[in-house]
Formats: sequence, C-alpha cells, structure tokens
Amino acid sequence: MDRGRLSFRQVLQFVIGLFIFLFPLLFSEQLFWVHVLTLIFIYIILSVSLRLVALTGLLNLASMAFMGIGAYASAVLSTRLEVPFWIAMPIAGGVCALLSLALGVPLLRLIGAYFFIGTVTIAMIVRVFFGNFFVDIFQGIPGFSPIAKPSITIPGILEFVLISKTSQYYLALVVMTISLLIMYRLENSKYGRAWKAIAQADNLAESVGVDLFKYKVLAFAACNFFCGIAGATYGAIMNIITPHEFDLPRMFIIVMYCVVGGIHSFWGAIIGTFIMAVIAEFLRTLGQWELFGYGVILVLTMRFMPQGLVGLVKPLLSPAEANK
Amino acid sequence: MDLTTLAQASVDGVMLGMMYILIALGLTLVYSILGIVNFAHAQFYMLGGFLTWLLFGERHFSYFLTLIIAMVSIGLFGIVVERLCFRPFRGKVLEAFIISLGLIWIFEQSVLRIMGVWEKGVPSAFAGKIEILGMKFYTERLVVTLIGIGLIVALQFFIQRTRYGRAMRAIAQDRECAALQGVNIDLTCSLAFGVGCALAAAAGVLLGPVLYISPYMGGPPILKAFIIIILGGLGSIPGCLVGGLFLGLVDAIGSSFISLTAVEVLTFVFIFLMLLIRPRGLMGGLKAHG
Repeated sequence: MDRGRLSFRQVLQFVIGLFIFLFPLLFSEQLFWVHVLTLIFIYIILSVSLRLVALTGLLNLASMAFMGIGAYASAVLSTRLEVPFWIAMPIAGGVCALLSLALGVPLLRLIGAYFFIGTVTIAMIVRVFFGNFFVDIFQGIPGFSPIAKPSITIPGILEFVLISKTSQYYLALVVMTISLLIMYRLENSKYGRAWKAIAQADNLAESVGVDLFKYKVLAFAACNFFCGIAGATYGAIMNIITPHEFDLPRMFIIVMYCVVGGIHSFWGAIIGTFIMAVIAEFLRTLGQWELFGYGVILVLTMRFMPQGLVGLVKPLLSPAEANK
Repeated sequence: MDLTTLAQASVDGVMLGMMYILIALGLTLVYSILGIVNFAHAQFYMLGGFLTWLLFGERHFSYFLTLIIAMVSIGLFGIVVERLCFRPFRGKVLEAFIISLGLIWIFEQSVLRIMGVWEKGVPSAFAGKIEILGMKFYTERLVVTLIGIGLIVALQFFIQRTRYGRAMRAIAQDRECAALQGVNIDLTCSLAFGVGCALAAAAGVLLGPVLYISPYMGGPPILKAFIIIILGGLGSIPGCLVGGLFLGLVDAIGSSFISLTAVEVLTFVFIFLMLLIRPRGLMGGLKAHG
C-alpha cells in the first residue's frame, strides 16, 4: 500500500465510523432506529466475546446466561445498594469472570459435544435460579424493575442522568468500543495465538508448551466477563430484566449472527450481528415466518458459505489476504 | 406413600423411560457413526406425533399401520436431511450443531404455521384399564411400554446380528479401517441417521395418544435424552438403557411424590456434578470424537 494515500478500506472504515457516531444527531426523530442500534451494540459485544471461546473450537452456550448474571448483579448493586453504575458494571463483569473461572475448571475438562451439553445445563440452572430462588431480591419470573439509571455527576457542577435514547445510544457505543478494543488486543496477543493454536491442532500446541486447559479456562472467563458487561449495560438501558430473556432461544440467535457474518473472523462477528439484526427488524414487519427465515439462512450459510459474509467480501477488499 | 400410587408411577416411569431411550438411542447411534450431535433429533419425534394425529386421529388408520408408516416415512425423510445438510460435516461437532439449530427452527416453525398453534389430542388406541394384583393400570401405557421394549430389542438384533449393524459397529470403532475393509461409509451413515429418526418417530407415535401434540413438544425430551446420554456416555447403548430407565422412574415417581420443578432442578444439578466426576459418563463411550 502506498504511504500517504488512503486505501479504499480506510476511507470506508472512516465513513462508517463517522456515520455511526453522528447517527442519533442526524436522525434525532428516528428514536426507534436509535434504540435498535443501541441494542445491536450490546449484541455485538456478545457475539464478539462468543468468538473468544470459538477461537479454541468450542461454543459457549452459557454466554447468554452469564449476560443474565451480569445484568442481575449490576441491577442489584446499583438499585438496592445504590452503587454507581460505573462501578457496578465492572463488578458485574468481575463476578461473571470469577464464576466462570470456578465453573470453567470442571466444564473445560469436557471434550467436544459434552462441553456443549454442559454449558446448556448451566443456562437452564441460571434461568430457573433467577426465576424461582431469592424472589425477594431478584423479583422472580416477572423480572427485576425498575433499575437505577447510570448518571454522570460532578458534585455541585453537573448532574446528568442517562435517560434519553440518545444518551443511552452513546453509553452503549462507548461500552462496545472499549470492549471491542480490549478483545481485539486480546485476540492478537499471546493468549489469542494460543487459542487459535488449540483449535487447529491441540496435540501439537500442547507439545510445544501451550497449557491447553489453562488457556481454555481463560478464554471462557474472558468471554463471560464481557457478557457480564453487556448484561449490565443492557439492564441499565432496558430498565427491566426477566429470567426468560437470557434463555437459550436468544443465545441461538447470537450464534446465528456470528455464523452468518463468519465465525472465523473478528469483523465477521460484528458485520453479521449488524446486518442480521437490521434484517430481523424488517423480517418482523413482514410476517410470522421470522424464525423459519433464520433457520433457512443458517442452514444455507453453513452449507454454502461456511466462512460467512466476510468470506465473500474479503477478496473484494484486499486481494492479498484472500490469496493467503 | 401408598403402594398403588407407587406401582402406577413405576409403570409410568418405565413407559417414559422407554420413550426417552428410543430418542436417546437415535442420538447415540448418530453420534457414534457420524461423529456429530444432532440437536434437532427430537423434531423427528415431533413429526412422528403429528403423523399420528393426522393418520390415526383424523383419518382413522389402524394404530400399527400408523406406526409403520411413520417410522418408514420419517426414516426416509431423515436420510434426505442427512444427505442435504449433515454430509459435509461428519465429525465436526460445532458445524453440525449450527446446522441442527437451523433445522430446529425450520421444522418447528413450518409445523406451527401449517398445523396451527393449538395442542392436539389423539384418542387413545387401547382404551380402558386392566387389573393386575388388585391394582388398576391403563392398558394403553402397558401396551406402549411393550412396543417400546420390542423396538429396542429389534434394534439390538439389527446392530449385533445383521450385516449393516456390523458395518455400523466397525465404523464406530475405526472409520478408516472400516472403509479399507469395503464398508460403504456414505450408505451406512445415511442408514444410521435414518434408523435414528425412525426410532424418534416411533417414540412420537407411541407417546402421541398419551400426551398432547404440539410443535414445541420436542423440547423437553431432547433435554432428557441429553441427560441420559451424559449419564450413560455418548455412543454407549447399554448406558443409554440404564440412564433412560433411571430418568423415567425418577421423573414419574418424583413428580407424583415431590414436585416436578424440584425434580428438574435436582436433575440438572445432579448432571452437572456427574460431569465433574466422570466427564465421559457412567459407562464411557464407544469412541470419543474430539
């Protein structure tokens, strides 16, 4: 690439970034789409974090359950104990990470299909737990509501509660950007390389000194940390969380986002989430065949373009990368 | 705890256990031969239930004819699904999981749209009660249990004694070696998938008159089937039998003496603990695909 000249790819990235940043200001009356984009940002955190575990060749079907744990932890902290949201959110992530370190030690001893089933049982237990236990704290099946709004306070000068759709949009955007930056760094670090090595040839990776078990548990914990962060943000924005929201059907939709975009690529998960979530809004207005459409899309994607949308677009953007 | 209730609950438990076993056997067969976990397996059970409603309930076919038609047609349908969707993904758990996720949505939603959301009841094939040792049992449940046992015995005979069964066992042990000995891998995989689907369909036909038929009826039994497989070990047929009977009895006796929710939570906690101690199930598997 010539120095000093912008490539097509860089211009595209800049334009898209600017558009996303200015969206609520440009279309301030389109509150519906501002809200849809806000939720998409949260789903992007989930689908990219799902990839951290997918790098090792596994699928963490409990990540939605951990989003629920994060959402409930942050909601209880910020509403009942009046901890500021900015402290409650990282604590919620930390709770998820610690819990998944504890659960990951037994879970990741399971191989292949057993791991899938093991994470499914966690998802079931979490749903039943928030629905039926400690009802006075978690408010049972009807759901936890209201949830304290995050606010920016400088004593005596400023008191700004993030209650408008626009402010929530920027909240989700900032949380997503920071999470994505960390996950991108993580993926290209020593840890990310180890995870990829595990997926490609675990015996070989182990023989050159990669501690398989340790790295898998770390991937699991890192994934669930970001799920917890996403859950905390989701709760603060939606003002109500119910145990059934964090159940398997929505988990499967996140998996679909990743697969359609291309689970083998960082950008694939983002692009897939974005495109499929926008398409979903239109499918919803078209009729009741929404899930049927998802099913067809999923099977066709897997069967005819296992690399996802990114696999199709990659040769157009950089021919050199496609030849690799 | 009175004896009659216990005896009736035990009959129910054995019946439920047989149905769980029929579904879990298909799953375990597909796993040992194709190396994938078909999460959409219980949707074939659901299709079996709807065929019962359509043929036996509405058109008044004889019950055994319905059973045979459902097993053959859904078995063939399973072979088509294997050929179209699962063939490129043998031994790839992640990819096959995603495919079966799509299939769940496709089957459930299309049945939902065509047949409607209402639960459908099928009239009992063997009405009335029978009296044994002074205790009354539903005739239907006893007959269903016996047919279930018959099917399991037939499957065991098929796997142990016939040419195709031997081919399946050979593939489960070592795919390359089996291929070198002249076993047709593609044909055997299709057959295994078809047999698995036919068993699930049989479970649907057998349970149809006992339960209600709805597009979502596949959800609970697939979870049970997974639990059985975890208990028994993926790919192990004896493990499947033991796990299925155990779970059926726990479900039936537990729900008549304690509460169903408590039983379900306890089952999941138990499974989780079980996995910690024996990551490959009680009986171990035929073979672990990575």
